[in-house]
Amino acid sequence: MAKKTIITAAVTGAWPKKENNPNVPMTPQEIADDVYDCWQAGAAIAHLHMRDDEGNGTMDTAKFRETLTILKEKYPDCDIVLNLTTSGDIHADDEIRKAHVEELRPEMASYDCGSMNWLNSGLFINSPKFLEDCGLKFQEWGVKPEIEAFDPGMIGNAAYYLKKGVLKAPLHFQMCMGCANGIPGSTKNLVFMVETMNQLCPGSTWSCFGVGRSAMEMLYAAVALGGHVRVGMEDNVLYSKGVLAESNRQFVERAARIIREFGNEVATPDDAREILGLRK
Amino acid sequence: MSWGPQFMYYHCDQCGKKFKYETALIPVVGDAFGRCPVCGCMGTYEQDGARIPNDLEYEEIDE
Repeated sequence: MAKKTIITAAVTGAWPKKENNPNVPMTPQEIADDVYDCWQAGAAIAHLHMRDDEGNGTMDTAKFRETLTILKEKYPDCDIVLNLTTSGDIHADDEIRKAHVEELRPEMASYDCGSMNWLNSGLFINSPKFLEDCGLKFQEWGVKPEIEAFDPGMIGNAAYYLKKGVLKAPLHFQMCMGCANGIPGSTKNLVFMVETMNQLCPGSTWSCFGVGRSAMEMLYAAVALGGHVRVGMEDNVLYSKGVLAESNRQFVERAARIIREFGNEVATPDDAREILGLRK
Repeated sequence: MSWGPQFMYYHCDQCGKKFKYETALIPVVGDAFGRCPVCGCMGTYEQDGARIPNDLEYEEIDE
């Protein structure tokens, strides 16, 4: 039986603006439309950020609520797994960062398993208290954490929280490759990340994305190494060198082609639920 | 969360060209990092970070 590979669509993120690519979705309506488009093209999971009215990243629960309402009412056939960020604004306080998860109870939410200097300009703080609160609350709320690991140390931190009961096995990792101050995006480094995960948190599943020049290498490497993949304008606004992406769907379609040509199947949302052990 | 790639933005004092290098290229291109693709001279650093609003005005150097 062919292996099923999950495609996550990260459609907007917190940074790129219309000036960078006019096709980046910014409003709840645009984001919902893009999620539906990506689902039709084969995405099983939507990783969602929100933007405020000026286009900046925001953790405003009302924006998440509005987007999910549009998705539900306008696209009732869409059964995509929702994965809401907890890190869409580095200035948001810890309570705001998880308030939308408590209210909206998505099947998944991101869990950035450590702190780092962000782009040599700011602090991306994920304090021990925040991580312990999120880990325990997510278990209570039935939300599966997607553990974003920007370097191997964050995998080690996940292993610590696993032993402590803050996280519950099996874990699911998102290997974030090529981000500034994180591990550079190379196949060698991805292999090391996966080996570290297998050693410290055996039985875990994983996905991967690469930003910028590492995007394609990480996409192919993830498929070849048996992982799942994430694509979309959160991580890359260019489809190829010097070419702006026309849509998030374009990224999902390419990922689906690569998965099928490799000999795998593109996982449906229900496949993803089974693979990741999600509640529905 | 990602903010996409990090770039260092430059202009060339000789020919006026605007260009950028992704910081992930530092170990790949070594001493050539920051050089003007036209003149070969070291560019004048302007700023760095995720994509700036007028990012498309700067040619991306990738090798």
